[in-house]
Amino acid sequence: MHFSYRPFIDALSMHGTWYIWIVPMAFFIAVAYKAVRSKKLDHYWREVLVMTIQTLLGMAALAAALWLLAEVFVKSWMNA
Amino acid sequence: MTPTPTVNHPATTFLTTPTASPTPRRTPPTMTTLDQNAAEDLFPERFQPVALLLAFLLPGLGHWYLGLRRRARLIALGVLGLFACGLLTAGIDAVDSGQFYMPASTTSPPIITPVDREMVGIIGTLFVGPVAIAVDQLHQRRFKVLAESYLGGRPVLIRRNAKPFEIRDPATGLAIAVREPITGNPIEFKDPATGTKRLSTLADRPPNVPSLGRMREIGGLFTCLAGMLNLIAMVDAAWGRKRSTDPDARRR
Repeated sequence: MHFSYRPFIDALSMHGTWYIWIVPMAFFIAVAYKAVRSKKLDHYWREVLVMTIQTLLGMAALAAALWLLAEVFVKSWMNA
Repeated sequence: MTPTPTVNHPATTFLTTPTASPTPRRTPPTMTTLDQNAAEDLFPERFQPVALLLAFLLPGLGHWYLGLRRRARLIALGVLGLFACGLLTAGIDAVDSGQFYMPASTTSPPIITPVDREMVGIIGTLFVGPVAIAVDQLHQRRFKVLAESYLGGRPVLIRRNAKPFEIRDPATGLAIAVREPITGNPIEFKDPATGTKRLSTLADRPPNVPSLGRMREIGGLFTCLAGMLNLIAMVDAAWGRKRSTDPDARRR
């Protein structure tokens, strides 16, 4: 059964590409956080952009490290 | 006549003979304007309970009250943007205080609903304020269905998400099966709108399509992060910012 999608009521069917939502998540976190923590808002949007990119790169690095741990090191230890 | 010798009792010495400081007192350094600004940032003027309350009522309203209009708009954008993304990904299921059990009849004793994972997850979301509470109440009262169940061997009514083969009776909130649960084939049911029996069509659908798996996790994460960021904004409005009397405050 496939029912038509109603925004804000039904769940999106993006189970294969869920990680795309990390981008708006990092962006909106940076928007709210920098609005509170920046001393001056003169370069606000640049700070938001930098924090968004830093968050995305940090998460990508963590994902790569965990992939290495699980797929390379743990598997090699189990095979040894 | 010999003068009376002065007895310096240890307890009264400090009254009669002031002791000299081993090092000369230093004059305090003069503070530059920059230092004063830094000190004011570190030590806020006073606790702002009205700003705290307003920041809880609507994200950004506490900073608006303090005269920091631009910050207020940006906080509202960030917090409500996260909240909206949560609803967009997981639907209304992103804000869910859990499944509730209630007695099957009015004469039955009350039931303490067991705490489940959803109830713990809603705590972070509630810091978004009345918006989140209203969405949760809407979810509980307009989208969930009442169905017969058992709790500890005792018949109860449970308020839960409707299953894909059920619709919700708008008057009573009870679940009505309109399809075969396994095959999905339409079955005859009593239409609550007209009171007549008929076969179900695709228009007879559950109040919402439940979110599962990754989308449920992402939606819950979005709304919980919105609440946590609004908590930071509430603390900042209440303790971290001075009320601005500057007419140019709307630019800050």
